[in-house]
Amino acid sequence: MLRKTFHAALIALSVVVLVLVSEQGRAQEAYPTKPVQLIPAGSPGGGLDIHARAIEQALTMEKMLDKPFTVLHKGGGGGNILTSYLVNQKGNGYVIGINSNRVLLNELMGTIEYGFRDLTPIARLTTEFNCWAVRADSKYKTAADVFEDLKKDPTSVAFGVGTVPSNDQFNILLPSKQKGVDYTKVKIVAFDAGGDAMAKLLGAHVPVLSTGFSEAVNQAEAGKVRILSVSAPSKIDRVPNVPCWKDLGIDVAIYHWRGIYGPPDMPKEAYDYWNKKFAAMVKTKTWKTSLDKFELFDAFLTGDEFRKELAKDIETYRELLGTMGMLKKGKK
Amino acid sequence: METLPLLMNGFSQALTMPNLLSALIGCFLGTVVGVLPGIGPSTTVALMIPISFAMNPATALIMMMGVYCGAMYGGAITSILVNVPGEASSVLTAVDGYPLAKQGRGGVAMVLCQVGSFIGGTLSIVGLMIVAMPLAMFALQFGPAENFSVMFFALILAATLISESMLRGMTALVVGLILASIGTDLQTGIGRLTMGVPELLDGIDNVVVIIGVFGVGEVLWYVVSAYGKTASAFERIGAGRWIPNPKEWRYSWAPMFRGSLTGFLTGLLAAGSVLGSFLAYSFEKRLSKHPEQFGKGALEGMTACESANNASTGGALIPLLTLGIPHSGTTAVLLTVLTMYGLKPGPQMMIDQAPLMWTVIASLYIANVILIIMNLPAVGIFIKILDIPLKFLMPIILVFASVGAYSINTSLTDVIMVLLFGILGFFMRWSGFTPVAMVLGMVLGERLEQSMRQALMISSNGMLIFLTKPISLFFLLLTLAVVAVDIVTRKKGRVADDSEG
Repeated sequence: MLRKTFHAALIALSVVVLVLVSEQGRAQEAYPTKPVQLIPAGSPGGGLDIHARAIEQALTMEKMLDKPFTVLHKGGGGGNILTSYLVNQKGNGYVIGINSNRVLLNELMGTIEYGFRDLTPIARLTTEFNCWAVRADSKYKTAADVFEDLKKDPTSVAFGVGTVPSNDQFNILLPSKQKGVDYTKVKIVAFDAGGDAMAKLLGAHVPVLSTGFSEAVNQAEAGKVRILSVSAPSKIDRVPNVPCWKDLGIDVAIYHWRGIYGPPDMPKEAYDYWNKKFAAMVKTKTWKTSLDKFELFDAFLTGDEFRKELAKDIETYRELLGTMGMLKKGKK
Repeated sequence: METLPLLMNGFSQALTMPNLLSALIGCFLGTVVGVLPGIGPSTTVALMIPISFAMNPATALIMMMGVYCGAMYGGAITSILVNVPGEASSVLTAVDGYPLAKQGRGGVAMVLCQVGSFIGGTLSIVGLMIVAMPLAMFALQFGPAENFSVMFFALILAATLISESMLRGMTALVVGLILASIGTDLQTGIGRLTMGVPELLDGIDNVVVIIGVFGVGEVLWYVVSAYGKTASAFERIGAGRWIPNPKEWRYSWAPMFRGSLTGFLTGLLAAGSVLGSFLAYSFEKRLSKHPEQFGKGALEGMTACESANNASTGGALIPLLTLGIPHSGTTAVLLTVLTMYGLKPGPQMMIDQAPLMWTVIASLYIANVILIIMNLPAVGIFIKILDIPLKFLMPIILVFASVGAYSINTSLTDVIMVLLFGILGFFMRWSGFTPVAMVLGMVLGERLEQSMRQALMISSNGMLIFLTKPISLFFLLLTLAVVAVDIVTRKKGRVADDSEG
């Protein structure tokens, strides 16, 4: 009996010791000590959600994930719901979000009082490129043909895009501006998302579409549409015969990028951790396979580089939106 | 053509044990999702993406198709039992289904809806197989001008039909149109009527309005009308029988087939399932010998509506499968899934991926069969809800509506809005305005406005674009004809009323 009690006491004691030791160990354990929220600023199935899934998949498959992610969707508000959420999580190292250049656009349009400077840019990950597409039987054989018409009458060509303001739109405005077209008069018609816009092009309701390369390339390979130009800084491998803007003597390259943002005042250990983690992730095979599937291109920048790039981008947008009369009043 | 061997091959693939099992799981999940208001088929399919990595493409797609079809079946159940339509496309199911339940014919209504769903779903797949390519080409002819005219037609047709009073119907419709204009304007990117609430930048979710006006509105109506009455303490609706009698079948067959055709064709267009259900209902009311019973428990409108929203699934898949172009919602998510498997969705998909695509089509047939077998006995279980005394049932509906609203965007703002719309729904009912016209305006309003502006921007001669495009002109003339007929019959009706009085 006594022996039994003694044994029980011994076991209990060792459990207590073990717990204490492990607690101690945890206290010294490096970040992260609990799951991290990964929040795409879009609904399930959308472009930002795909990024979240690809990140989760790459880190899991390559056994680089120290603590699991909790993927949480904060779609809506044109990305503003995520931004507000991150601002409210100030100083929290366990929340990171995925968003695009909408953070900059919303700030300029005045739909939210916070801007990218209120967040912690952690990494730019990928980019898509935009392109001009016409129907296979279109009279436009090259982008130069389109510019010719635009120069005669900037209202003569109606462009279809997915949404406004967007890179689809900038992919019309910036090249037109360089070509000396009165770009404020060019007709830009927004359709619901990419699929709808493509249907309107195929049905010949708009002559030219400015859209994501991934949305047009399968149609082009099936001989339904012709891609006139891509917004990449150099030609894209999959369509070696299509010129980029630089090939056409236009100094424009447009990146439809996606990046990771953290809350303001993110702890340094968390910031450094994710900077390193993403730098390693973008080199893995799993990640690269995912990019290929979705016609995404690597556009990795570390947090510091990303921040500088954002500061540059916002000035370009400010000027463009300003001349289009789309800036929030008093934000010149 | 070689359709038949391809389809047979598809069946042999879809009927393997793992694929059949995944169809079963998909159908069950879909029904559950359809029953719950809020979370819809597109979200469910998207949430399945990570799980589908572990499966082969066919198995995963079959499960997703099951969810897609199942959600359409499930939508009818809550519409009838508790007046909470899970989606815009089953609003009109509730309009007649709930009164039927109150008359003790809830079971009959559910059985007929399930059969209607089966017929609509199955016929649309037959259509998808036979005429996919020409219809896809036809659908491409619908540009902004054509879309505008179709929506305009639907709106006028439904508005003049639904309300007994033209003025009240139109007022409710306009309120719906105003609600639809809340949110970011597509053409300028500027927020309208958002009152500084960031959640409103995306506009008000249709489902929020619907759950509020119908579900919560009904609860409030009950609370007010039961106030002070002690006798009704254990009042209940009562389940009643659930096998339709021959007369009820006779009323329902034709609407099911007509509804299927309407739903299938409108499924080709964006917002197809909603458009289809409203059009099918309006047609039935027009054809009916007793239109005054619509909204009070007529079977025809309800079954036509259910057949139409199920038939829209086949129509909606056509542009995706033949052209690689998704409309929105579930088909857009399916495109993502196809891309994830490296299938390069596009016009070549039906050729390059023929075996897989035909397996998917075969699985749609199987899903419909599974659903009707699974859901008919389930009616016997669901119907028990009506045996719950109203004083317990009503709070349950309130909880159900709030949870549904929260699940849309996991946002409390939506829950608050559902309650506000409940109050609006109550007052609309109290003062004789029809919430259906408002929901119609709300659901079609944004597309109506946007397609009009798109058309005018593209047009080089202003408003004339609506008359120079043949399809657009056709629908405008049709609208005119409908209004003219209405005016004439209304006058006749009034004369008759006067002579009686």
